[in-house]
Amino acid sequence: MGKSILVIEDDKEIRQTLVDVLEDEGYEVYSAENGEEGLKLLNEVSELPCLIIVDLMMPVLDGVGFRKEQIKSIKFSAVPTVLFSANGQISQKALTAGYSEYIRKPIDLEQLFEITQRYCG
Amino acid sequence: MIAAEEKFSLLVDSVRDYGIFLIDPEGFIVSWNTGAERINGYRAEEVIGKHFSIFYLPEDVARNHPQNELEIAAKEGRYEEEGWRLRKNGTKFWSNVVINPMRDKNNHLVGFAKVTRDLSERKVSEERLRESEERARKMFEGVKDYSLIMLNADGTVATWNEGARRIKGYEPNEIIGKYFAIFYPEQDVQMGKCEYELKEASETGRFEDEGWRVRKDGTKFWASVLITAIRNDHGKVIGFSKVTRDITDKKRAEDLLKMAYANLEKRVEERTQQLIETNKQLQEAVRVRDEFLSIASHELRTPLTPLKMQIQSLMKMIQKSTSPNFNDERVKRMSQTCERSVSRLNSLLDNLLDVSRINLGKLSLTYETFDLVELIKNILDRYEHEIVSTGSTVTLENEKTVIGTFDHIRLEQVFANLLQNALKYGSGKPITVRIYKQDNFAILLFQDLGIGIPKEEHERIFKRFERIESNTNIGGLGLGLFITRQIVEAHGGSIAVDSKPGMGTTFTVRIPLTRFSN
Repeated sequence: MGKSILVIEDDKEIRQTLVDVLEDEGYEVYSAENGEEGLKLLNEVSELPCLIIVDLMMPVLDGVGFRKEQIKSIKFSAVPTVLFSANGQISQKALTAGYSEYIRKPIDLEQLFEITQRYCG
Repeated sequence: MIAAEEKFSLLVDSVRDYGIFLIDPEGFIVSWNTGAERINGYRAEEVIGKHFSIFYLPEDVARNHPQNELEIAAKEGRYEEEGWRLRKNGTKFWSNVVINPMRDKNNHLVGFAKVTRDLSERKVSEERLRESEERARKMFEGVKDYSLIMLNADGTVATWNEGARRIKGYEPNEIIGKYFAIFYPEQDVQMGKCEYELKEASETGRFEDEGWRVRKDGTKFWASVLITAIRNDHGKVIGFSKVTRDITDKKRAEDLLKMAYANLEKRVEERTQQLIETNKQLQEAVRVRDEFLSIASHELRTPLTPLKMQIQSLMKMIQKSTSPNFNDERVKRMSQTCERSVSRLNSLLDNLLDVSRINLGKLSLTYETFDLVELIKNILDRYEHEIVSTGSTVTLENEKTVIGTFDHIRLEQVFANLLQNALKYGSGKPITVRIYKQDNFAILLFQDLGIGIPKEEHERIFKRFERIESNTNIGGLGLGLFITRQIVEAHGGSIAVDSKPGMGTTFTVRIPLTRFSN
């Protein structure tokens, strides 16, 4: 897997900031506004990302729905995916939706980079 | 013959229960027996030769009663009476006296035989019985609160007391001899209640009842009735005693009490329902509050997320100032993001403060006169960046000016809110804003062609902390339309929604052009 990261987040400010700070770290970053666009991007890219960061609450297809679709595909389900939300019950939401890891908003950059380094080097 | 006379004399002498003695034609005592001694107290030797008037009360002697007795006996062959007599010791006793004249063969009066019985004991018990009957009768008659009457075996009235007169209104002479059905309501009489009661009393000894009875004047009273059969020594029913009480007041009090009790039960039931309902509402209020707190914390964290990342990123860049990413474009984006995040936080806090002001009734308006068209144009300019990013276009259809007196800051808030809603739920489709005057009102329409609102949600969206359930993935505190309506109504205006799911939404605001005072 390459060094690209997929960010799926409906809030424009958060999405752009994630793109900026991850690019600053040298990753190639794709971004999508909702789960549906995210799935579309996964189908389009030539090389799968090393990490997907998914917001929980989004219109059209939310974080729960995205994960459901993602794990239907053996190929996509192999990509490490973390849930990213300000929701108070994020740990439980992550568990029931089948995420192995979650990040609570707001996040420290150090914490973010620890995760990206763990999965993407 | 002599022997027989002697035997007879001995017999007379030995009789103890009767005083038997002979007196001569003038009334002097000639013989005396044991019974006379026992009854009168004199021994034979004390009394023989005395005039028999010594046994009489002085007043009887004075009126010559003893002599009269002898004359009647002589004339009629017998004299009998009951009367007071005197003993030797001066005490009185009630006696039965029989005097028979004794005549010889020539019908010549030779004396009198006098038989005396002491009836004192009988007299006393008779007297007692008479007194007790008199007392009973007086008591019976005098009872005022109870009707105590006797019925003959055929149900006709035999006796009547004061209580019966008071309760039923009849004088004794009006009612004695009348059939007792006269006291019953017509319907009871027709049903044979009277006969049934007497039959029941005859068979079981008594009949007890509570029910309506009729007075002489036709009015009814609620009676407690007890009928008891009276039997002779052979067990035959010879009549009935009937005790009646007027318990109308008691009945009325009981009825009132029953009604009050039923009413109380009903009120308790109602109150319980109210409490259950209130409890439900309170639980719902708690749920809404908890949900709001969860939404509010989510909403506040959202702008904090880029703010924190941007600032940390900036700090990192400052540390390694040689970073190639540290260029003007990047710094510009950083500061813009920070600025917008701070504005968002600020606006969220403003909304929270507004709600708290409204709750405390402290939403006050500062009136000034200005053109609403100009305000709308300013807002559209300010939101241009946001409009473009949603992909929608906004068309303004307006009269040249709509000038009136309003709170500038508050109406700016209203229009910005409605525009933001149209952008948020407008699905990127064209939006129309229309503003015009009608009568003395400014009319503003915000029309989008977006997801729309189901009919059943049209009222709820204006409530505090409410958003449409299906749209929980779209951010917002759920306070915007609540605050909007409060501001519009404070101006004396109104806001209405017209929407169908999938067909878009139109909000119409009507605000009076002149200052509203209530």
